[in-house]
Amino acid sequence: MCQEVKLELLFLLPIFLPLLTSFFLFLNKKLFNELVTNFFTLNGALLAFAIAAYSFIALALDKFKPVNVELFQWISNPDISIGFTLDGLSGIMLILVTGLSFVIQLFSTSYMAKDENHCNYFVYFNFFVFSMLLLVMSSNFLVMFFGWELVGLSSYLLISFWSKKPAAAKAGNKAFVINRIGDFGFLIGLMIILDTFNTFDFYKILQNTSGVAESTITSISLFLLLGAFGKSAQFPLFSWLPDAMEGPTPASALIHAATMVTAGVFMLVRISPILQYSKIASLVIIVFGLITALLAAFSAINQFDIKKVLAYSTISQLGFMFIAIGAGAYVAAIFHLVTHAFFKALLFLGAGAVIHSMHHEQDIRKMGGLRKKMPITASMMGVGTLAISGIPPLAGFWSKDEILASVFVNGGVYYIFWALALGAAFLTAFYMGRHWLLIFEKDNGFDHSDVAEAPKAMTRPLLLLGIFSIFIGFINTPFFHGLEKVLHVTLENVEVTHLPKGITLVVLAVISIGAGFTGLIVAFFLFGIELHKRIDLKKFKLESPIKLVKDLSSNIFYLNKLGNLFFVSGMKNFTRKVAVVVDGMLIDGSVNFVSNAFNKSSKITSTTQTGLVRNYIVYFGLFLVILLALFIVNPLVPR
Amino acid sequence: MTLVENLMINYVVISPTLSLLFTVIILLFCTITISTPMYIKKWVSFSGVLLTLFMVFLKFGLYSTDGISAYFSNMILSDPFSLVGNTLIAFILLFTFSSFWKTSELIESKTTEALILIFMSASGFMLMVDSENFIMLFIGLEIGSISLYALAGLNRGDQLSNEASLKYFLLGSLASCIFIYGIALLYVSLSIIGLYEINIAINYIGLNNVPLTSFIGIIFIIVGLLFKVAAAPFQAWAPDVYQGSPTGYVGYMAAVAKAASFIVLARLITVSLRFILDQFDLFFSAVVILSVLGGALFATNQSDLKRLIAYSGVIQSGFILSGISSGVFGVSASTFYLITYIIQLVGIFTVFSIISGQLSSDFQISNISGLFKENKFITITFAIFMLGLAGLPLTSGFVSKFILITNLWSYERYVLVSVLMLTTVAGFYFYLRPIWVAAVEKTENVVERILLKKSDKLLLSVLAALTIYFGLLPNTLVNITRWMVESYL
Repeated sequence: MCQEVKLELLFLLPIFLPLLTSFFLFLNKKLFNELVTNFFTLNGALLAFAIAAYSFIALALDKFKPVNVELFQWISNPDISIGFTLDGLSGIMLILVTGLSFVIQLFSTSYMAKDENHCNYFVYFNFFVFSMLLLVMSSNFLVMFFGWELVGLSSYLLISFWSKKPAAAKAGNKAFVINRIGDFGFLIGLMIILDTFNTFDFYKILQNTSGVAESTITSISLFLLLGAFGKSAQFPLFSWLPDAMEGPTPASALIHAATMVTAGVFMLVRISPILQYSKIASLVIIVFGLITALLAAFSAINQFDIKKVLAYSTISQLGFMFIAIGAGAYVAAIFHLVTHAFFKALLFLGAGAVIHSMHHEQDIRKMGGLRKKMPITASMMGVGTLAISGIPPLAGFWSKDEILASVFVNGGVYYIFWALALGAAFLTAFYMGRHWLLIFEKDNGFDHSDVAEAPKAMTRPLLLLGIFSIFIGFINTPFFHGLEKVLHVTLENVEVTHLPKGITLVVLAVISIGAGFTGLIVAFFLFGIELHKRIDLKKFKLESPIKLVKDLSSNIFYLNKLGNLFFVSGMKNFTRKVAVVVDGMLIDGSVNFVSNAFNKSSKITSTTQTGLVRNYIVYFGLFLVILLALFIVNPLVPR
Repeated sequence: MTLVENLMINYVVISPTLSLLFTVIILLFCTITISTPMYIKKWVSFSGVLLTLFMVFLKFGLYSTDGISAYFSNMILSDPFSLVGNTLIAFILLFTFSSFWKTSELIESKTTEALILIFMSASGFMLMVDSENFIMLFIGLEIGSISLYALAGLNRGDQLSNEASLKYFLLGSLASCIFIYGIALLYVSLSIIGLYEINIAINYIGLNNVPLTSFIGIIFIIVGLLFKVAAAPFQAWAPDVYQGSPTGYVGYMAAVAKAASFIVLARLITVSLRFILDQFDLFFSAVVILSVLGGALFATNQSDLKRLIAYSGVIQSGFILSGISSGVFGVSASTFYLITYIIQLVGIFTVFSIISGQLSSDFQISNISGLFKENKFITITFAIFMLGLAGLPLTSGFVSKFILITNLWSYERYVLVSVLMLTTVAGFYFYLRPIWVAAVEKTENVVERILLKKSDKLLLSVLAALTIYFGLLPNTLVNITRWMVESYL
């Protein structure tokens, strides 16, 4: 009992500590120089992480029994209150967010050094961490929605951090507007939830699902899904994420790779007890996840911006998480979320180090041969690349293999899904291999004599994340179901897809390793030893197909243009017509008529207020008689 | 059993009235014997208000031991209604103290006279909400009203003030005539003069044998009360009186009469008419619809802000009446509405009296143009009160309208619901216009910076904070109003 009370108070601290830091730095913006700012923000983040780790251990000792804190009840009927919860799921996210926040802030102190808005960056950064924790620690949909909106806001602030660049300001707007579409769906979902369950509390909702019609659950799931699609950059709402790379690279690492974009996945796992009852929603999730994974992976193969490749790769990996959810493998989704957070943060920070050393050059065609100049960065990026490609025993292998195996085990049409997902895994290995080779290996003939290894404040986080990227996969292997135990209570009533047993698993694992290796080898042939230049392509008539692939890839199948054509131009014309005819003539006309009529009758009635007492007395008597007559006419009155 | 015990004499139950009378006697003594400095008068009257509040507190103690019971040979009643009414009147005195004190201070020769009138009227209304007997009720009403007639005309130099006083007096006497005639009719037909007796008598002789004259008597009594709350079609006096009276007094005059009359109406309906409420359906519906529609029509073209608030009061009376006349839960919703409305009303008239000076009577909308530029705090609180009256979400006005309308919906009064909703929409026009004029519209002659006293600042902040607080967390007040009707379910 004593321990419980302590824990309840304790795990609120890491949530509000970043807010406090943010507020404190905001107030003393003019007072603090860089050193003082760094001191406060780093220590704040470290403290938050330490408390988070302690809470998690205490939770683990208590067998992951959820701890709920209700701060206060707002309205009793419908039951709306402000509360937080610490269970396996939110505990993992708590540790992940605070830990990565510390590592990335350490990196940022060096990356953002000498920026004129240095302090502002950390204000926004800490505010983001607060909003993200609000999102993941909430015990009801309302607080989650607050967090959901606030991460959108802080993401907007950080994307357009260098708002003097027009591209940055534009990208911030785009991200904000596209996310509005998703949030619209999320909001409608929340309204249906409140209407159906009369509460926002997760536990109360998840316990009462059995009596609800499947159509209601499907509509709730689909509307919430729209929100998840927007936040997690899934097809068709994904185009904001590549543009969001205009923000500072460390911010991209935390927000647009490791944490915020996974909010959709987190939310879907949170509502998995509802989700499992809706076959349609699951199918929609897996189909859209597949489309996203393939499309984004395909787009990544011909990108030349060091960060955009990673952005598309993020979208693609998020697609994998959605596939896992669609296949019912919720543990695998969270597992991939965790491993992906580490190796993608590693890749982004590595890219940040490269950009920093290259004096803010982002075109990978102008890099090449940086391995000798930046050995630590190169090797750590190499680790990240191997991890995301799914090479054992690195982190990515375990999680990705689990997803693929879970899809396979569902049988039927899922065999096709499995094959497609395998294709996406192959593409992943290919473009990541290309990415690393183009940056660090292939010599493009540029002079890099002024490039040097990044400062220690940057390489240390890289080394740390590199170690994690290698070993984090061992938390949930087929031999040791660590994560499954953590999530055991959260997913108590949920039917989780389990891994196949015995020889099937081994074969599947070998196939997925094979896909990863093949991708890397193809990339090595094309960009490492440039095989295509040594053989005559014309003999195979491959030139035009390759050109087509390149063209489609760099234009993402012209989807953006199609979208612009249909939504922006088409809608503009249509809305203009609607504005003139419906709004201008019909609605405005009728409203104006009503208000004019009201005004006129108001003037007429005003004349009765003469100011003469004799008139008033006449009114008094007259109306008294009328009311009396009205009363007596009433048939209910006995006579 | 001795005679005293039989009469149930208990001074605690009328202690708020007594403490007010005690203050009045001290003030009277001060005037006729020695010339007293202003600050002594101020502290005497303020301590009188505090003493009254304390006495109301004592009454809660009495209620918690005795429950609903009658004293003074069934003349005085102690029940949740009287407690809420007493508390409301005492708080109105407290919150309007700064306005009416400053006005009284300005009318130098008649400072004590004004204070005495105010405390006498408060004591009358206290008695009115306490009374079980119609005769008692009438006496309380008259003590309260006659003081208010005199208060309206206190600024003798101003023609508007004189006119207001005379009008108020003439029309008020007419209403009192109707009221006492109603009591007489009721007594003639059923030989009863008690609130609780009506219910018993009707149950005893059966609904079909009740003579029509008794119904007409009840209607006359209700009309007398409706006049006091300025419900249409008996609203004609309100705009003229509000406009003419010294601005510092209007907040008190409007709030106290409304509070007392509505509490009495609520008790009349829950206690006396609870089994024959259906017969009054048409009557009340007509009054509600006339009030909200007529008030909205009159208010739309007003350029005088005090008249605007008077017509808004007509609309709000319609709203409150719609709840009161629908049943017990409606009464609780209406009491919530009444309390939040009185907070906003007092706030608005405090703002008016600060801006216009205490004695002036006309208060045109142009008086506040460009107010925001120099007086940010006043404008913001003014906007909060106006938005509260309009019923914008996040203010108590929204919550009260919401609770009221959902209650009406559950009583299946769809016509009333639709009319009330329409009026709310129309109301936004004339509630938002003063805010627009004060804050947004560009103008040449800006209102100069007004030095706010600390007490005024505190008062306005408290009232505005209450308006917001009840808009966000209405639970406390909802529970209080539920408690009020709990024993009548």
